[in-house]
Amino acid sequence: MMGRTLKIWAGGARRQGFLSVAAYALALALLFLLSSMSNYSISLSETGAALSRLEVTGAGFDAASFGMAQILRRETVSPAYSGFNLSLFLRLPFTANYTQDVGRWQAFAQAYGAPASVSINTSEAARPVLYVRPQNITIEYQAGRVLITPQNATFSQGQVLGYDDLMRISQPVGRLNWTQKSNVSPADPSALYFHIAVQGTNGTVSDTQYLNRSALSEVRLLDALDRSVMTVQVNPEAALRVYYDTSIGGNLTTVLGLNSSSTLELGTNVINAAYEARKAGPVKIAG
Amino acid sequence: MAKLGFVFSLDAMLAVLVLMAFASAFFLLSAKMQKDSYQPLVMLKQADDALAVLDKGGMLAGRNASIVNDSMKQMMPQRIGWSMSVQYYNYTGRFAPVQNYSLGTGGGGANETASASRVFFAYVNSTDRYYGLARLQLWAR
Repeated sequence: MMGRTLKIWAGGARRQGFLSVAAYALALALLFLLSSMSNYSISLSETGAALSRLEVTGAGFDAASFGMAQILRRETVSPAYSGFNLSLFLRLPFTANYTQDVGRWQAFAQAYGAPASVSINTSEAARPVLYVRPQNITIEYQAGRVLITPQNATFSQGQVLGYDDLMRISQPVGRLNWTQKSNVSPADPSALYFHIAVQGTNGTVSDTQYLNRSALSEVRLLDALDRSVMTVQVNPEAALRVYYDTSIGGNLTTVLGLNSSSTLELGTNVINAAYEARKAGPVKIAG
Repeated sequence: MAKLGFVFSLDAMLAVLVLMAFASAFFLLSAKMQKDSYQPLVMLKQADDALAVLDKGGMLAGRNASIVNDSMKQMMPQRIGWSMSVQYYNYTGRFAPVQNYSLGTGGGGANETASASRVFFAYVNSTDRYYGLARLQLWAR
């Protein structure tokens, strides 16, 4: 009897123990699930605010960059596309208005561009660096010089078919003097089309050549007194260098002949935008 | 004794079920109380895009309030109310206001509004240049 009682008791206790353990395990699993759900809900509730900050920062950057592009186009370099050719129109002399307006635009954007914090690097913007994508060609405009450099010797320079330098100056022109010329036939694989034309107050001088893109060629524009006014070089590999007297008035158009479509970008270090962590309430519109 | 153990275990399972029911009710009510962040975000993007179109299309630079008003009416759907103010400055040793106008209707009373602002540069000629600030507020009608 006693043994039988003990057997029954032992069986009941095992079952009870098993069920209790199962209940505890289920409770622990439930608590773990609740904790995970809580963490996930918190991260989801913050997503809207994070997306909003991204949107505001993006809009601030877009406003500042478009303003910079307008200043650049109106007062310094105006790009234009004709087929695959990229034409860059530069007003001479390299105007002081550009630098002045960049500084004012920076001050205005920083003062009124909230809630995004926008800053413009005026030293970078004063000497605009443009990038031709995807050919990876750099175009630098500095006082007295224009530098066009394909960055990748094996790819970028192969995308350049030729250059046209068209200049109009407000003084008499003399003649073109080739100090170094590396001619090749037009059918040569390394041939680079090169055309230069300068219109002065007394007429126009021009020349067209097919140059070796892997060798140095240089032509100088001389005035009536045989003084050098402008120097144009074709450097390896298919890089163009234009050096001009900064006192010259007029304009310079450089046409970059490419064999595929391209886009022009302003230098990457000019504009920075960030979102200031501050409370932004509803804006009261005066009306 | 076995029956007593069975009762205790059943009590524990019932407690777990009650806890699950309570937690479900808690999360359901919390989700309902949370504000919808999607609609205000969409309106914020719409406001930013509208100002970008006005800037890049040259409408803001033209300083013509009726053109800006007509453009906004074309861009904004009927279910969205809007209110805009535009201020123009020029630089005379400092930024001085030269013109401002307000368009659209008041948005008082709207539960959820989205506001965007954009600075812009207006080039008229080599001597006339303006720096502008446009603010746009949107709400669901």
